[in-house]
Amino acid sequence: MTTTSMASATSAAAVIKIGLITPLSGIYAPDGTQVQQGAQIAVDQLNAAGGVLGEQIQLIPQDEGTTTAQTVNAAQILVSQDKVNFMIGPYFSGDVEATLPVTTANKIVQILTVSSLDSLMVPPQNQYLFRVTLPDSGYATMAIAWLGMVHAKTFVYEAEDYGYAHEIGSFLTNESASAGLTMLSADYFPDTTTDYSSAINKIASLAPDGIVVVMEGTNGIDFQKQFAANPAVNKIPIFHLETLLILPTNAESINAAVPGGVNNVFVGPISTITNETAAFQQLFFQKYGITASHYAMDGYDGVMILANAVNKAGTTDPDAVATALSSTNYTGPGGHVVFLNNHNPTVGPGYLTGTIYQIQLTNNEIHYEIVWPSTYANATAVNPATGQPYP
Amino acid sequence: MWTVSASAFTGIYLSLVSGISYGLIISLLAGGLSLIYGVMNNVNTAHGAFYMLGGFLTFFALSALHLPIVVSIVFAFVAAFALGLVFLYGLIPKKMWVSSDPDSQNIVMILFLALAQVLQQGAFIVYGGGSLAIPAILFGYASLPGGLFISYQTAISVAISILCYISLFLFLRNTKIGKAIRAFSQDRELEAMGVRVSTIALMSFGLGVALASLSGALLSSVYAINAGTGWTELVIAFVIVTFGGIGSISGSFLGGLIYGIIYSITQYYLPAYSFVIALVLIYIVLVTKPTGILGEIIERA
Repeated sequence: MTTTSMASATSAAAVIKIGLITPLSGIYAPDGTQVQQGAQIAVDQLNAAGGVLGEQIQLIPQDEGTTTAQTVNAAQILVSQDKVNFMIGPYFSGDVEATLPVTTANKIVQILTVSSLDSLMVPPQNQYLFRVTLPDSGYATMAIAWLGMVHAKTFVYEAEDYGYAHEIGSFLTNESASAGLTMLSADYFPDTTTDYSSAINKIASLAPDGIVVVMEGTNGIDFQKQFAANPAVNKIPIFHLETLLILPTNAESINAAVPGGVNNVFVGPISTITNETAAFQQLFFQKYGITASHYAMDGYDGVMILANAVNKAGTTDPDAVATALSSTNYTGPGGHVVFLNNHNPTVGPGYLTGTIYQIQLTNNEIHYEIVWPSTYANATAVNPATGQPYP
Repeated sequence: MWTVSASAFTGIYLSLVSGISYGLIISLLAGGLSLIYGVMNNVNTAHGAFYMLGGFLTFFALSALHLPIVVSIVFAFVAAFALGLVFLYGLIPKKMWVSSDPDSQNIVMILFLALAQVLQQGAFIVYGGGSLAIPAILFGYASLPGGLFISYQTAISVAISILCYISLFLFLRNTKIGKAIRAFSQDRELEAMGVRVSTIALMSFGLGVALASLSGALLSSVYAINAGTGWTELVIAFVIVTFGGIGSISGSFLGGLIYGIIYSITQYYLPAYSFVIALVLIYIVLVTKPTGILGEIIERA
């Protein structure tokens, strides 16, 4: 063997490979790209500090694409061809499920930074699966916390007709009674829906104290525009979980169509604020010129949690790393992560909570005020019906 | 005045009113698609993209030209008509403008699909992925019996949709080019009698996409429009056109109305199945009358 080829072999061996499956094309590409960008920042920081166990980290991204078949193919390439040690993703829960035969057969530790389906985290398939983002049960916890904040006794649940939204609805159904709440209806709408006038009329006839909406795409904007234009309902407190309304451009599109149409609307991104969040957002903006979403923060946290576990295990052996991951106690820009026995993160104050904002209009300018959790709240929630803070 | 209760009657009443308004609004989009197919024998798979373009043209007129909202909507209609002519001239070989040859029709369909992608990517590059901020023509709402409210923008959109259909009927019946369009759609051999097919095709395509654009312009303050908008609307327009009778303008009007009513009633009672049930009912009608409820010839307009 020549010196060059020996060096090359040494170099090849001195790399820990992390595969990343995330949407890099199609309508989810902006969010999927943020996962990659956040993960890359973590990799760069680790490598600049000498790597992990003295080895450099290499991030190998694959496009999740628009079909499950494409995702499975991406997983096979990462495992068989690139021979990755670990994996971040995939992004969608259905795709995670589809890749499990490939990843479990090869003992690939998988960190989920976007997928939220609780039902994935069951033995034996969760042996190498760890989630660092809020699961669907956490979404339901946020909704229940919000309903308490607005003193609701009754509510309706309006959601897109996707598996995760049904899972959130099931959690809400199960938990609402013990929280002293009555769910008047749970309606799911196909993704072809643009006109919600009939659904909004139904809400008017049910007269709930609060409305929980799970529509992550432009359907949430459609819904809010029509909701805000209808005086039979538009003073009822409304909470959009994980919504595009967190972006001022989209909130402005509603406000232009219906003046005041976003005022006092509650929005709940699933990102949790910590003392690390602001610094990460600044770094991310400097590097990429855009605002970091929770996708980027969870991507960053996923790599860091994995690196910490490898350091702790002292090896890249998947069983040793999985054991080390189980005792994770990590705080990053996306939250404080401590895994439960099923490898979901702990949800609740001090861990992962999500954040609830209320949109306020001042001189027709849109502001997002943090109203929950109390640790990071900078405003008190305002009752849309009275314009006064809730007692 | 009645009071709203959760009775079955209330549900049907509420969703019936919603369905009529939604159906009348969306039938404007379908009418353009039907006109183009009825004359050109080509499916405009870029029709949804022209709906999206209507929103963006309105936004451009508002934000860049600083025109009032009503003038901006008119601008979207006229500009889409002009762009339609340019795209037809620039993209589709003239011999394929009007054709019953399946190979030619397939090529045109794919070219229109490509045009839709280009329009959407263009909108994304220029304006990003956010939803457009477009004001309503008139803010506020009207109160209907039963505690039902309808926004002025929706009511205006319904009125404009009806007005457009009336205008289209008058145009097709009373103008020289309109009569030529009707005559040509009835008898393709008229080319030999001196009627210029290219003029008829241009006028039909321009009008068809202008109606789609107008629909997008009007609805951009009711629904969300961004660079990705258009595919769902294309599917809905196809459903309505097929249901009403391919090529029949009045069929599109009636088809849209019925689709809207079925859709809204099912959305009230079985929201998850609203689109599927509407499709199943329409399928049942088509099984019994394959040409749709009002046949397939444009002269019935």
